[in-house]
Amino acid sequence: MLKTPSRKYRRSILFDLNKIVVYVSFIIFCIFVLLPIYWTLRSSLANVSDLHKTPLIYFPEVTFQNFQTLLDQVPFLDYTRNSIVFALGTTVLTLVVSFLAAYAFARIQFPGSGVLLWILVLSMALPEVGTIVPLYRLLSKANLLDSIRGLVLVLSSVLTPFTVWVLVSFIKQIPYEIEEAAIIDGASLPTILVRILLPITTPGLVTMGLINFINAWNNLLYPLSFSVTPSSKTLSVSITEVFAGYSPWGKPWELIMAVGITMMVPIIALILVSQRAIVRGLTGGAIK
Amino acid sequence: MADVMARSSASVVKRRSRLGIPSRFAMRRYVLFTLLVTPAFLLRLVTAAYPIIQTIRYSFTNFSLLKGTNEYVGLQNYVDITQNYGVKGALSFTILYVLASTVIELGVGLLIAQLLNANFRGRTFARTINLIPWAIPTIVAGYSFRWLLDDQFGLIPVWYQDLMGKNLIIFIDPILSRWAVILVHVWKDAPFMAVVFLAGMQGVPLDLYEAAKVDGASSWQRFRHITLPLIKPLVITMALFRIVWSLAGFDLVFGLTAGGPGVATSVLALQVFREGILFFKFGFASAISVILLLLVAFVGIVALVLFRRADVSY
Amino acid sequence: MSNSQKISRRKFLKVAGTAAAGATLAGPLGQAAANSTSSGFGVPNLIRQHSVRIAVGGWAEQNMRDLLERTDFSGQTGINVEIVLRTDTKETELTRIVGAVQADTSPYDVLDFEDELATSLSAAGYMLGLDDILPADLWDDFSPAMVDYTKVWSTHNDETFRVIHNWEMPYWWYRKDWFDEKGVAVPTTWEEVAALGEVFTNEDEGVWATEDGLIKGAFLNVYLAWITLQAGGNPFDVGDEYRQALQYIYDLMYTHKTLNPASLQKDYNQQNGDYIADKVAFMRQWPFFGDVARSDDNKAWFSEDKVAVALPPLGPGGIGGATYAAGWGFGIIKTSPNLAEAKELLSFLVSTEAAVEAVKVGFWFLNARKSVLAAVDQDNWLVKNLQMYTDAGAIGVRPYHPQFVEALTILEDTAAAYLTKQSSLDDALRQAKEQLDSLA
Repeated sequence: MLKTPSRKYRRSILFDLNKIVVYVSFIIFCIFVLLPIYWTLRSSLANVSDLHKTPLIYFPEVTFQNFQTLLDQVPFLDYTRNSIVFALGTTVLTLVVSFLAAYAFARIQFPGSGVLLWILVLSMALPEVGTIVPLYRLLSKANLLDSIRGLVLVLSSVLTPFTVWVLVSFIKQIPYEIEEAAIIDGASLPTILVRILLPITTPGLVTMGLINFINAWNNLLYPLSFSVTPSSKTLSVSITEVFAGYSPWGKPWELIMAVGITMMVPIIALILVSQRAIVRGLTGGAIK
Repeated sequence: MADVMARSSASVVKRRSRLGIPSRFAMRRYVLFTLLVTPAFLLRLVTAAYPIIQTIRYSFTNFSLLKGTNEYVGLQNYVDITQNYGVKGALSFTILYVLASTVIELGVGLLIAQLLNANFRGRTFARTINLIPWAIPTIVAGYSFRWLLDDQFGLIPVWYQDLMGKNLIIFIDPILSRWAVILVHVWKDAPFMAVVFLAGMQGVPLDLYEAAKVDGASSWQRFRHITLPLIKPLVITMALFRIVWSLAGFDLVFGLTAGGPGVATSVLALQVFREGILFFKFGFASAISVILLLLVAFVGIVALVLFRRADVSY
Repeated sequence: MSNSQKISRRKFLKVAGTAAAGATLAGPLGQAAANSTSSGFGVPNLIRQHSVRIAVGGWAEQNMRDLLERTDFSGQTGINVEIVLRTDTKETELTRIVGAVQADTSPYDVLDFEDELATSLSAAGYMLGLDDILPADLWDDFSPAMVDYTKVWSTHNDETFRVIHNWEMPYWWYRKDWFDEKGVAVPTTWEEVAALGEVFTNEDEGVWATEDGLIKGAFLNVYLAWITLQAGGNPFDVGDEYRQALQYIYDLMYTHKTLNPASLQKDYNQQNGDYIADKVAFMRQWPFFGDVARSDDNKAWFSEDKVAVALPPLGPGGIGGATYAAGWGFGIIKTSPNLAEAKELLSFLVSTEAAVEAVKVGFWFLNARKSVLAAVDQDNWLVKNLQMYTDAGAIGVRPYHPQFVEALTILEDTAAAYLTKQSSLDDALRQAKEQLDSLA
């Protein structure tokens, strides 16, 4: 009888201890994630001369001069439009192709399908840079150079293995009974895929869609190699085009940071919008 | 390997035959399967299989644009690799870099996932900012950290100077440079791992935790004996993909250290880029690519074995 | 020109180009219309047979457009010029070109390119020989040092493949205000430079007598070549001069504390930033630093005596090797789809008339051609410095290697290992020698 309050007291201390641990880790986590971001943001928003002062100026006067310069130096609107089309196109193509394949791997009995899936994953092994020359020949023959369609084709292929892999585990986890009932009712495959499976897998598709979108958005190597004119160059390419002092020698850090921030903002907005779906999506997939 | 595969498909067949489409539709099933996977494999065939075959072929030639040679030379390129200063340096750092960053990322990723899974005010905020490092273009992150670690105006060296009263020059020290590259990689990719793990953790049935709590298990014990075993397949999957991706990528190193000082932070993929694109030695570059391919295949097989084990224990 | 204008102009040209293309198909009247749209962006493929693509860095885009407009190239020739952006480094640019030429095509017809690309592209046989289309008296207009340079850096198998329009050298910049304040004289020898560590360097404050941008990727090589040339040799020979140069750099860093060792991981932007932040008393740097220092960003800091220029302090090699010039020039990619038009554009760009007009448009076209030097504003800081270095005979030929890019990488890898104390001088030299020998 006497013990109860003290136990309660101890529990509340423990409880608080837990809380303290959580909040301390939260703060550490925030510093870990945000410090470099703060640094990037600071460099993009400051006058370049304020960045080279000691003691450091932690919050220099905000100016949008770097963004203005960026706009002057590269055809920004063209690049942004291309980035959006490229990233969206890649996302959609990857998802469609991967969804179909993932359904087959997850649901249809086929001798050696496990090996096939493994081969698909291991086909990612060649470093991207090693594929440039052969891919250039291919795209050239197909008349897909300097075009967003060509870029979409190439990058979708790169992103497909991981997408298939995640979607397979996602679909496997969905109870088969629902489809079985539909099959017995005589539903066709397209009906099953679109009407039944698609709604259930939406969270998984949204997640992989976002991941693929970001990958395409940030991809530098392929647009750099295969795009020549502003009709197909993307925002990431502008990193290699900004300049300082009207000469090739400078690598203007503050402009590169401005490119980085410009590219990050839409992504953060996307993450915010799809936050809930991502966690749900990955919850469904991959684990079981 | 064949044995593992056989066991793997056998168990799949067993599992599926319980639920699967009746076997009298076998023919139709095969056609369906082929139809569905064809787009994916067609894509890979064109943009991956063709380059891989060509790379393997080139790796046995002395194909070089500058010398104008293109003849079969057997294993000469592979012999040369063992003599090449840059490649030798890159090989050892690549292994260290990929292993260390993967292991640390798994650990940090799990920790972050634990945090994001805990119930506290600011959780939504934490989950939102979590993916930012991953969303920043790698090459930008590389440049950004080069300045963050700059001896004159970089935040970290300046703080170090304030605390220790000594000047810190990170990038002329090979050991510090290596750790800088590894840790920046962790910063960039651990959050992504964390999201995946978080998803896995949320799939763990809550009643398991409740039961454990009733049994008086500490939070560490709950993590160790419930969470970890359940998300083990996920951890292995992520480790596999992580390793494959880091083996093939070089843009972080390119932006952060350019492989320096000396060749202390050079990686194989950077060497492929240098030998192939910059020096026009396609034969030699292809041989390095093949080494990378073999490394990935090895990792893949190890992961496959681990998978089987994890599945069994699961 | 503000951005909104720029974009709307592009849009306009696009529309005009499309309209012109439509008209071209309609009849001869359209031909004139198509010709009159000079330097259009995004001109559709329909009129490609009358067009040519030239790739320049972003820093030169406006200059090139102005030049073509001023001279009315398109009006005179009926060739439409499309200006596209190339990237800022040899790494990224090679990535783009290699795949293209291997596929027997080319992203551009005429290219504005630097020494690193010049050696790679010419040795690979990617560049068109130009001797047929160059006027015979062209070289008479070049200064002797430029002719020497062209023979080494723009010629392959006795065939000229590039004509330079930009020819500039690292200058030796110093803080005249600091030197005056301390009462020390401008150094004229290596030894005097070394001794300045004691005068200027204050490690705790992060102040160093000198600093450079020595990160790998051709930055370090510039300095290695510069110092070795001052020692009287070519670093790619890995001879005594190179040994002496490496030893000297090492001593500057660690023995005399003159050169900031952190230079090894800096690029030019960081180097300039440190100089402008009052952390550096003197340095070797390309002339673009003059632009950076005079830009609006640094208005508060700038004064002429903070960016004074003197002749480089001399090493054992004497005045003839005090510094060297590097060049940028025009060439034609062999696999270009519009060879005839490319030849016409290049002949025009290298002509005396165009060279003179060009330098009026911007200093990206400054070089030591007689016609050019006669036409420029003699009071300009850069022209004065170019004149000073030319008069002193301080401009040597840039140390050359036929496989320049690969050779410089070997030097950078091994030298950086020595300079960061990962290997001994002997090991570094032996490694460099072995690998350079295996290139042959």
